[in-house]
Amino acid sequence: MKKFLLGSLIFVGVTATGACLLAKKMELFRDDSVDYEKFESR
Amino acid sequence: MIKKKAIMIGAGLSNMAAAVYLIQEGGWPGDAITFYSLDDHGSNDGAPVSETTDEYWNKNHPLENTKGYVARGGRMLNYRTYVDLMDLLGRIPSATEPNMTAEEDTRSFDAQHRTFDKARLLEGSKGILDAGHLGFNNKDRLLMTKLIMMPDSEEEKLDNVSIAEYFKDDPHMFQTNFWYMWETTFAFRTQSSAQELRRYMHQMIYEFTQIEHLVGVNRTRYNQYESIMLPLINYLKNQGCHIILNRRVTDLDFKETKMTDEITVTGMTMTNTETDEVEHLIVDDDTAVIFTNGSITDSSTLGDYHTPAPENMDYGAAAGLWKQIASKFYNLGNPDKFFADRNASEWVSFTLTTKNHILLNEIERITTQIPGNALNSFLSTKPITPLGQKDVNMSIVVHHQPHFTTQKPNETVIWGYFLYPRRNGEFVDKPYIEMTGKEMLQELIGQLAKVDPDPINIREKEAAIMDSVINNIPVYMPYASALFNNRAKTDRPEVIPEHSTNLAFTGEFVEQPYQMIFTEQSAVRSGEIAAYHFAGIPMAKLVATPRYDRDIKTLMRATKKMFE
Repeated sequence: MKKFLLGSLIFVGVTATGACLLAKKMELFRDDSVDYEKFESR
Repeated sequence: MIKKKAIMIGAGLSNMAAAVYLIQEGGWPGDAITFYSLDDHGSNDGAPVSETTDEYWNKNHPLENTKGYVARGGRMLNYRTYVDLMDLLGRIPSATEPNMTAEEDTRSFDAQHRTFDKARLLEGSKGILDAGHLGFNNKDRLLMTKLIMMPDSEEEKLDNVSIAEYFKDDPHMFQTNFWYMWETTFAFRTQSSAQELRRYMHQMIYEFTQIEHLVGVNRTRYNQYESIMLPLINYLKNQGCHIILNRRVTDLDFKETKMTDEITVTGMTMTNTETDEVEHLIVDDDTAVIFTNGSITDSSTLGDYHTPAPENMDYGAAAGLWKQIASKFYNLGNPDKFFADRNASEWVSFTLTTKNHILLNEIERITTQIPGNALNSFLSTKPITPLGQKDVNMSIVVHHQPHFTTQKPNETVIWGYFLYPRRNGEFVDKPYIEMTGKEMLQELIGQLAKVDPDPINIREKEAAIMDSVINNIPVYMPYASALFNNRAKTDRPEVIPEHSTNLAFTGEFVEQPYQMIFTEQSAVRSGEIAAYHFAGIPMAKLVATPRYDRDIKTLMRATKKMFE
């Protein structure tokens, strides 16, 4: 039982970490407004 | 830099959008805005043929038959992602429907005529294909996934990479139903930019999941001129804007600076194309110059039922000016990438007008769908590409009728196009670009006959169909897909280039964040950015862009779709 719980925790942890890294790579949470700031400064 | 007046070079959608935002958001009076342009529709044209014969690109190529209608292209909308366009249309009255905004007009029409394409792809001896089966193999999926996963900040990795190059180790991609649909829905060619394909995969990712039925396609009630341009023209004229036509702007004067690091327009030279008189304007310190620096319908030509469309080798009015001014600075883009490679961008369309519904009914019978609901593409049954592969011969759009407000109830207007105009027809043995309107119709009948499932083939009615023709107008457009040409990020000027004090670029040949081009949406947004800049409105107030490429559910649906 303990092994199962530990294994599950590790699996969830690895999956969540992988998902977060993928989301970061794909810039899923990037703020688009920064792309327009350059027009304001011109 | 905040200004009080604007000169608009070009009176197409982008600059008209800019004018609306300057007036409504910037509080500018309408008479502070002056347009100089060859025409008042840009690429959003649509008119009886007889009304187009004196236009700049047509007057040197007179037609024998000026009956019927012509719309060089047609626009599919997508309310979900065309948020700036819908915002704009919500600000102006419809030109055809009383007591409605242009937005309410299109929404009410579309709600009654939803798109559901039942015959997106057709092939001889097979009829209607199951286009929902995209046909990907694992290599296709891997390469498409790489495009979807590539974030905005890395798109420069695709500088100068064409679609052919991106998939060079995966020619299978070009044999998939996905590719046949994608290329003909959006008019991509294999020489087109992979960087632009990436943008499309991102902005259209939701529609990718339902591509075979085009469920996400929304349409205007009538042609793009009457449903989009005319409302804008009416509104802007009512506001006091000056729209001066028959002007070809040929040069801009700039303030001279030692390091060439200030872009300030001080004057403008243009030709009155009716009188050939050359005019010169001084641009003062209070004036912004907003320039649509390219048009996909520049240098286009018309034919008629018995005449092919001739080739016009003009570089293009807007592109010519762009080239002139780009040579003076280092950050105003590279117009030759788009306008010096016709092989990568040309195609021909046709607008067919008939006096009855015989052909319409036959198409309805063969494709099983009512008019207005489809884009139909006809596949070849033998290899026709340089890679020795099959490809789409031609595509048609059967509009909801009437497509023009002056169209009689018994008349039909159908539009079609040949994406690769130098290929030979299957039934008329000559390149599509050399075909008369009659020959293009013969091609269409041939394609329909190939896929006709009924024992009484459409060929039995060919004589009646030919007899029903009022006109068929071939249109040659050397730059129809120029905006998709292979490019680097720096090949297009930014909407507000660095060091510019009074010059902005709008339209389909500008660099702006995220937007895919060849859409009413990107055209409007570029005008909106220019307007906000010169009116001093914070960019945070731009219409918010929906990012379906960051929506987990959509991404999962897209992943699932790749395996269908």
